Amino acid sequence: MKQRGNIALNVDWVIIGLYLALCLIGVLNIYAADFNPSSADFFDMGNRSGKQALWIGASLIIGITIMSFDSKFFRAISPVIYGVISLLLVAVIFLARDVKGARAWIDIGSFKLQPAEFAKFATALFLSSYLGNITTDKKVDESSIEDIGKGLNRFIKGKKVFSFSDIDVYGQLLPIGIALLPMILILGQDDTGSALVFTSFFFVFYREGVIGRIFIVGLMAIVLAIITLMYDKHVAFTALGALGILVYSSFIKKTNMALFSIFSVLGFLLLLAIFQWSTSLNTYILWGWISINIIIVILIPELWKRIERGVILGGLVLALGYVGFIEKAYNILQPHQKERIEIILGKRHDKTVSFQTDQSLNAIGSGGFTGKGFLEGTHTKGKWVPEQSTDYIFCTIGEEWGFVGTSLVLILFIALILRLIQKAEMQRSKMSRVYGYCVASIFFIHLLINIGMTIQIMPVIGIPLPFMSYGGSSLFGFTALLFMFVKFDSQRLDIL
Amino acid sequence: MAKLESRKYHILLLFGFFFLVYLSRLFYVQVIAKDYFVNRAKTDAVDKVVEFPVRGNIYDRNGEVLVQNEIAYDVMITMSDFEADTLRFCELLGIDTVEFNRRIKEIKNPKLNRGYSSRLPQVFESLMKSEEFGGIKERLFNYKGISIKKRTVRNYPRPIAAHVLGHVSKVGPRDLERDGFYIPQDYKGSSGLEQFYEKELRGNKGWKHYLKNRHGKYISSYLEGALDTLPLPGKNLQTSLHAQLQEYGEKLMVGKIGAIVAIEPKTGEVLAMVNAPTYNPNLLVGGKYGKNYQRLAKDKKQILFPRSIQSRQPPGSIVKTMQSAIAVDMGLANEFTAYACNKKLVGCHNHQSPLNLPQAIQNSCNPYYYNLVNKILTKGKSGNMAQLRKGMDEWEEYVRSFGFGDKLGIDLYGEKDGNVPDKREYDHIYGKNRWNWRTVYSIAIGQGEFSVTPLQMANLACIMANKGHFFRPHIVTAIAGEALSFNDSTFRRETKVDSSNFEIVHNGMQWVLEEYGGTARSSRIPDITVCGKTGTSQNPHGDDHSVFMAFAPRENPKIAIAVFVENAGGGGGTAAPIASLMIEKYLKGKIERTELETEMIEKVFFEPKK
Repeated sequence: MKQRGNIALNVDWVIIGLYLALCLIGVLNIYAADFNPSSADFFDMGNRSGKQALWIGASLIIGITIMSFDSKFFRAISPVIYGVISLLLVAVIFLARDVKGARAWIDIGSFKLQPAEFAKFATALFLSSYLGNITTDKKVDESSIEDIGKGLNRFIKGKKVFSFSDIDVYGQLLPIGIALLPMILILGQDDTGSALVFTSFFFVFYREGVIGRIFIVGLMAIVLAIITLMYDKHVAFTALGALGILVYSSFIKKTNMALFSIFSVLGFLLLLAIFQWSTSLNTYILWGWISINIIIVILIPELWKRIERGVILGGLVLALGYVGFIEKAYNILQPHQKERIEIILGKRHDKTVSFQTDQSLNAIGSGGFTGKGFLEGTHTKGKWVPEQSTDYIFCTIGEEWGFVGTSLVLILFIALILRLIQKAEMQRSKMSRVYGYCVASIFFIHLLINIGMTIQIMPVIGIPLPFMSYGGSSLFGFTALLFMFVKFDSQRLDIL
Repeated sequence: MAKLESRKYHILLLFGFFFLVYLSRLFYVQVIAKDYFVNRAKTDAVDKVVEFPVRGNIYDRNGEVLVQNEIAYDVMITMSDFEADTLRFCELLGIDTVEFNRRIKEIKNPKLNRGYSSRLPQVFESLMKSEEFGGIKERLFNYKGISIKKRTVRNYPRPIAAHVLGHVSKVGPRDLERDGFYIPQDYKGSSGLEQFYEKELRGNKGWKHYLKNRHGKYISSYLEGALDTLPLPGKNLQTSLHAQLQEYGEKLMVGKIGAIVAIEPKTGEVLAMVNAPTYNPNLLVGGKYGKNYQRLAKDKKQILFPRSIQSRQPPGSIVKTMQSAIAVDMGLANEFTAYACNKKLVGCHNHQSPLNLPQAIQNSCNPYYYNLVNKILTKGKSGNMAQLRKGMDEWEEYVRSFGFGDKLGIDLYGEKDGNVPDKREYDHIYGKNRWNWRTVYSIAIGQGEFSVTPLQMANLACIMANKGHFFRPHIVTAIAGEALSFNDSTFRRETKVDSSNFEIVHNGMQWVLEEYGGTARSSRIPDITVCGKTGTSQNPHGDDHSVFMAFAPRENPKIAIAVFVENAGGGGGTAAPIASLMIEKYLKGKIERTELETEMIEKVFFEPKK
């Protein structure tokens, strides 16, 4: 039985435990990545591991400090924090030195401060305190998936489908604006990676009904186009099929169906992986798989009565056509146009970048199932992967701890994210729930981009792996982000 | 509200989907495609550094070193670090800037130089001898990006037997393809014993594995040296060559074109194998190899041609010894068989007539052998084609048992087989049965289509010495201290002639040197009974070749020898004195007939280059 007011009992130790585990794994691998036989002392402040250990200590103090305030206090000062950070972001554009093409760091003594890392925290806090005070449920019904059919019907009958009066300024435009402002400022610093992280708030908007399913459909269309161009249509089809399953299993709300979906996606991806990404056999497997999906949709009796069946099937067919169209359209482009698109997508790099990503994959792949062992990574020791203690820390794990290590880290992260969502859904206050989703989504995007980059399924975008990458700013930022939620969560029983 | 709550599942599913995609990608990269990445990582981060083994030495029969190794230096250039005033650098190495640029281009060309990396040392100047290197060593070390790699090169303390010992050269693309042993920096034997015993001489390379960093610098040994191996030196070869005799033979052959082959008849061991003109084997070593090889290969006298095993010439009159033995063995002649010297049949020189069999050998009477071989082939039935064909077959079988017409199987590559004419060949030349005794009689005196190598001539001398058998001539007698055992069936071969039938021939051969009118009388050696036979190998392109074959002493022969000198006329004039000097040198260890020696050394057919 939890008691009000007793922080130690109300704190979610699962989250704290996962956090500490990730930090520990991180600093251990920073030690390996930065290993120098002539000064092998783990806690030597000349070594990165020593500094990171110090920062972990400092972030624990930050965490405890946050826990000692009342959550109402943060709610009250969240606009101030947001305002100050925004001003700082503007200042950085003019003050910062150019480091690796981005002007994102300000020197404070020997410590390099990266305001963008704190902007995530500030934006999440302000956004959740803002959304916590307004109701958006009304707008949601009008943008649910059933309305696509209705809207289509209206369109056919020549009626008005959309009017500007439908837009909810306080419920939609302002929250989106809150997320976009820091994003644009950070783009101004040429720090694309950090700016991209702010797209994570769209998961929050979706959950809270700020944006509807139509928006998601639009987003998916863009994602599909990017996937088609970056990889090939097979991968896009896979994503599409997975999306289909996602949608209809959400309608059915049956656990076994959802499980089936998950395992069929997993099985399919394994087949894809085994037969490489693109072979003719792969195409057959793919079409077979898509057919099974369609048959499942047709055969499920619950769907017969529902309008969604048509929507899903129609949507699937439309999307398939769309992917095919994108590919065809791309192929008739001029070579120089293709080249520009490929550069934007990160498909084409200059030599140093592709060297970097190749070496990253070599390091991870050569780790094998169990890895080469702590401090035994040949690529890590030879400093083959640049930025290995910061953005490419996942390589060290992959090389020295193998698949066992990488999957453990992945599982720890997913466990943390799921725990955050689970806890968020348990919150009585809307603000806490929104904040929980913000935190989970930010971690998710970081994970998606950072790990995706090291295993070559994402373009090279330099953002850190939360809690693990070397660097004080990011660790402090993530810690503040996480502990604020732990604080909110510990006080959820206080809210009636 | 219910609607919005269901959205959490959408988000969870999307996150779950990502998780599965990433997990399966990791599974693919780290488990399924592991080997590919392990290999790629190894190629990048682990450097295999070769340690070249020392090639085996080659010794003569008395343990004297014929081929050994000496240290040479490869000057290596690391392009990414190289900084120098090109002009002065070139001056130091004695090249011009054109050559410098050519070499750099070659180094950077990935087709010629596989695995080129600007961060790794590349060979710029290969195998500089210590004496050249010593002078520029200090100044060379001042250049950035220049390093030195120690190698070994062949060295010949006595510059003799170049063709027999052979030389080593850099391996080519074909060698790399055929034999996985080789790497591009390897050298391999490409002629002579170096080539024939390549597998024994080359040894095994050692490998060291280093972990290197992104900049190509070695950080430590890989897996604590668990994969490292030490180089295994090549095996030493013990040969049957007699260094002093070989050297003496080469001295006698200066300014002449031809060959000397001396064999120990009791064993088949080659004592000396002189190919003239010869060259200093030290020329084909180290950095100057290419230039010198070109010069030697282009020489009009075919300096690189190993005449002793590859030159095919009519044997001339030396085969009269064999014809005599065959005739006696067939019962068609004995020591009293006499024929008149009828110059209408075939040309001859002036001597007494008629002659019996030993005298015919002594005087090398052509009409005698015209008659004798006529008897062998036709059995007196002249004009009977069937008998002639049968006689040809019988004769051919005898001749082939003397080792003619086939390779003897010496341990050198490129040995030629020579030709024993037979009925098929005459059918081919003249048409089936459209030839007769008069067409083929020149085989009686070792001319015409009959051709042999100098090695086969020396082998004939062995057969004579052994009275009817011979041992496969060979040069290497022991490998790595272990004597080779020659117990295969082809090692000792019997001729078809019974040993009792050689005494008559020996008489004739002894008289060649000792009796008045003997064709090599001026070549006799006091105190040593030499049996020999002169020959003149007819040459349609110029002066006849001088041939002499001999063994000595008559009782318990220790040496069998053949000397072949191109365009030197009759056998008695040049080949015989040279052979006798060789025999004297071998049996007495010194030369007492210094006048003859000087005469022979000074007898040159072309002006030898210095």
